Amino acid sequence: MGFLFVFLPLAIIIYAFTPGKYKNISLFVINAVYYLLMGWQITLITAAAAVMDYAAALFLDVERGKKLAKLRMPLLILMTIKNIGGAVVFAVLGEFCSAVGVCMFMVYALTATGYLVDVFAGEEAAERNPIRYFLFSTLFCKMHIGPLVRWKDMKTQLAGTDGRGKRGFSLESAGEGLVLFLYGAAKKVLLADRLAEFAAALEQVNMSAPSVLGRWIAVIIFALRIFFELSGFSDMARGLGMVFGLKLPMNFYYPYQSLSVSDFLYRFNTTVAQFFEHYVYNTLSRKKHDTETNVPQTETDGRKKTILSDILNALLVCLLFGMWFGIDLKYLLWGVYLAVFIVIEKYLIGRFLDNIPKLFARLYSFAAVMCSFVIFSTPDGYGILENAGALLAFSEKGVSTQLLYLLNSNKLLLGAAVLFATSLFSVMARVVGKKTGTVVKLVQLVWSLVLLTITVSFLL
Amino acid sequence: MNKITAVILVIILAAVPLLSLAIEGKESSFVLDVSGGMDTVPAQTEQLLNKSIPGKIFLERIKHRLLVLGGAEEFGGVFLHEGNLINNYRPDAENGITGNLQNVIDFIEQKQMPSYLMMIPTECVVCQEEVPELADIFNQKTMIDTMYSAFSGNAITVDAYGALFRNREKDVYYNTHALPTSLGGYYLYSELIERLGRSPHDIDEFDISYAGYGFYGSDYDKMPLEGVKSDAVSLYYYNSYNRSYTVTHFKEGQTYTYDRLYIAEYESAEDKTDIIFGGLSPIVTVDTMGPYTDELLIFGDETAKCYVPFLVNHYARITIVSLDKLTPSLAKNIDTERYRQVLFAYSVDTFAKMGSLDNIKMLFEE
Repeated sequence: MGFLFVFLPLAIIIYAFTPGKYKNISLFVINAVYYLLMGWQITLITAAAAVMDYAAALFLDVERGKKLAKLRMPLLILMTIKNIGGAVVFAVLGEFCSAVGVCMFMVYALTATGYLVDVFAGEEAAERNPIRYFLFSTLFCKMHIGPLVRWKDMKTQLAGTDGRGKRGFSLESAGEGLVLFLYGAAKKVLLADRLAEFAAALEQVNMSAPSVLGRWIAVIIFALRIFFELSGFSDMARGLGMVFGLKLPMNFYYPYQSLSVSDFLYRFNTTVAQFFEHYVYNTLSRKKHDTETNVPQTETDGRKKTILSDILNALLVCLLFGMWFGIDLKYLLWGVYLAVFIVIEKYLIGRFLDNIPKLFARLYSFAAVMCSFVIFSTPDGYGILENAGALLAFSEKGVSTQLLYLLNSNKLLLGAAVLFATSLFSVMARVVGKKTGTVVKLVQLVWSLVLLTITVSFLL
Repeated sequence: MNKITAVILVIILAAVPLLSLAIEGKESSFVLDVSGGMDTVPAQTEQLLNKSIPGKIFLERIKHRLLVLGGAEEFGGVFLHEGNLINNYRPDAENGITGNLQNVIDFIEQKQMPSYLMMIPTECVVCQEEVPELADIFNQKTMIDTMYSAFSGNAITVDAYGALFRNREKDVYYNTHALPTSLGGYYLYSELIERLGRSPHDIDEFDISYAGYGFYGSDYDKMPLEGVKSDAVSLYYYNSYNRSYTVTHFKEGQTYTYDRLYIAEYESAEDKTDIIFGGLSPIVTVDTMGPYTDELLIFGDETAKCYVPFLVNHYARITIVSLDKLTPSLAKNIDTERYRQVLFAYSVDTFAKMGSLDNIKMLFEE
C-alpha cells in the first residue's frame, strides 16, 4: 500500500511537473529512490552491474574493427557470465536475496545481456547517455517479472521528441496507464492471492481426504494462480510505463486459450520466449522469427540444417525458458516437456492442428499445458513421478465433502478466475468501449474506483 | 475521459496517506524513522496505512461482504449463520491431550481426592444444524468420550455435551464469543451439580438482569460484518435466600476483593463477560455466606464464568485456578487439603492445547 498511496502519486506528480528535457533525469531519480527503498544491497549491486554493462557496451561499439577488437568477444563472454552467472548464484543462494531481488536480477541480467549482444553484433549502437541506459536496463516498473525489453523497443522512446531525451507528460496516457495498473493490481490481489489461499486450503483437504479430482483441481488452480500473478505484475509494469510515457510490450496473452503448446510458449511470458528464441534459437539455427506475424522466415548461410539440430535448439530454448522460473530440476523437466510437444507439433501433428476446429485445438493445448503444470506445481523435482502417479490413481473413488465445501465456499473466485483467464471479458469490454459515449467512459471511471476500493480492502 | 481519470486517481491516491496521517495524529504522532535505513520506510508506511487508512472498517466490511457473496461461510475458523458467529474448532496436528490427561491423572492419584471431569464442547459441534452443510466439523463428541474413558475409575465424568445438546435451541452460546452463555452455564451446572452429589436449584430461583448490551466478542474480530447480532451478558441472582459473596483475586504481587459476583465496572471492558467475577485471575476464590461448609477446587478456563455463579450457592468456598496463568509463588497459596472435591472443567479447545495444564505439577510432587 505504501507504493500505491505514497510512492506512486508522488512520483507521478514530480514527473508530471518536471520540464520536458529533464523528464529522463526525473524518472532516473524516481527509479533510484525506488531501489533505495528496496535496500542498499540491491541498489549497489544493480548500479554496479549497470555501470559495468554500460561501459562494456561502449567498448564493444567503439572498438569494432579497431586495435582492441579481439578483446570484444572475451569482454562479451565475461559480462554475460557476470550477468547470468550472478543471477543464477543469487537464485541458488536464496537466503542472501529476497524473492523479489532474485527476479530483479534475472530481469536485469537478460535485459543487459541482450543489449550487449545486439551491440556486439552491430545491430545496435551503444547508448552514450548513461541515464537512458540505466532507465532501459533498470526501470523499476518492469524489474519484478518483466516484460523483458530490447533496446530497439526503448531507444526511440527514451530519446524523446527531439532525440535528446525531451519527453512530454500525457494525462491521457497516464489515465490509461493508471487504469491498467489497477487492473494488474486487482489481478494480483483479488485473484492470484486469493487463489493462493484456496490452494493452501485445498492442499490440507487433499492430505486429509485425497481424491483424484482434488489433485487435478489443485493443478488447475496452480496454473491460474501463476497466470494471474505474473500477468498482474506485467500489467502493473505496462501501466506504470504508460504513466511515465513508455510503452512496454505485452507479456501474456491468454495462454490457456492457445491453439498448441508452441502457441502457449508465445502467450505465456511472451517477451521471455521471444528473447530466448532470438538470442538462442535464431543464433544457433540462423533462422529469423517475425515477431509481428509469428511466421518463420528462413535464411540460410550455407550451413546444413538438420532436424536434430533444430530439435536440440528447441530443447535448449525450452530449458532456458523453464529455468527463467527458477533453478530447480522441475523447471528443467518442464522445459523438456514443452520441448517434446513443440517438436511433435512441428514435425508430426502441426498440419493436423491447423486443420481441426479451433475448439479442439484449444482443448488439446489446454490438456497438454495443464499436464505440464503437474511438473511445474510439484514442490521439488524429485516428487514429480509420485505427484503424477497420484493424479492418475483413478481407483480412488468419491469426492470428499470437504472438497465440495471448499469449492462451494470459493465459487465466485473460481468463476471469476476462469472468466478472466479467457479473453471473453476483454472482448466484451472492447465492444462496449468502442461506443465512445460519455456514459460508457464514466462507467469505466467508476469501475476503476470500485476496483481500487475493493483491491485496497483485500490488502488490509 | 482518461485525463479526468488520471487526475481523480492521483488525487485519491495522494489524499489517502495524508488522511491516514491526520487520523494517526489524533491518537499519537507518527514520525518516520530513517535511522535504520531507507529500506525500513516501506514497512513503516505500510504499518501506518494498515492502522489508520481512512474508512478502514468500511473497507474491511466490503471485503467480508464480497467473500460472503462469493460463497464463503467461514472466516478465520468462524462460521456465519443468520447473524450468529460460530467458532469452528479444529485440533492442531500436535495437540496436548495426552499430556494434559496424564497431568490430571497424576494429580488425582497423588491427592486422592474425589475428582470430577467436565469437558465442554464448543458451539460448532453442539449446534451443528447452524453450521454450513458440507463444512468439516471435528468430532468433539468422540474425542470427549475417548478422554472420559481414560479417566474411568479415576474421576467422575460430567456429560456437558448432552446438557448443552438437549438445549441447543436456546441461547446456550454467545453469538459473537466462543463461550457458553450464562443460560448455557445453568444447563452445565444442572448436569454437574448432580454428579457432585447435590440437587440443582431451579432456574426460577434466580432473578435475571442483563449487562454489556451491544457486546461483540472475540469471534467478531475475525468476522466484523454488519448484521451480526450482538450479545449481552445475563446475570443470574439467586433469590431464594439472601446470600452475600466475596470474590478475591490473586495475581502476582496483587490481591483484591469484590463483595459481589458481578462487577459493573467491567461493563466498559473489551471482554464484557469479565463482569462475572471481574474476570479470571490466576486464582479466584468465591466465598459464600450461607449454610455451606464444603469447598470446591476448580481447575478451569474462561468457561468457569458461565457455570460457577450457580455453583456458589452450594459451597462455602470455590477456588478457580487458571493453570495457564499460575506461577510458582501463587501456587503456594493453594492448599489442596482443604478442598472436599476437585473439578477439572475445560473447553475442549483449551484442554487440547499443548501444555495448557502443565502448571498443575506445581501443586504435587512429581
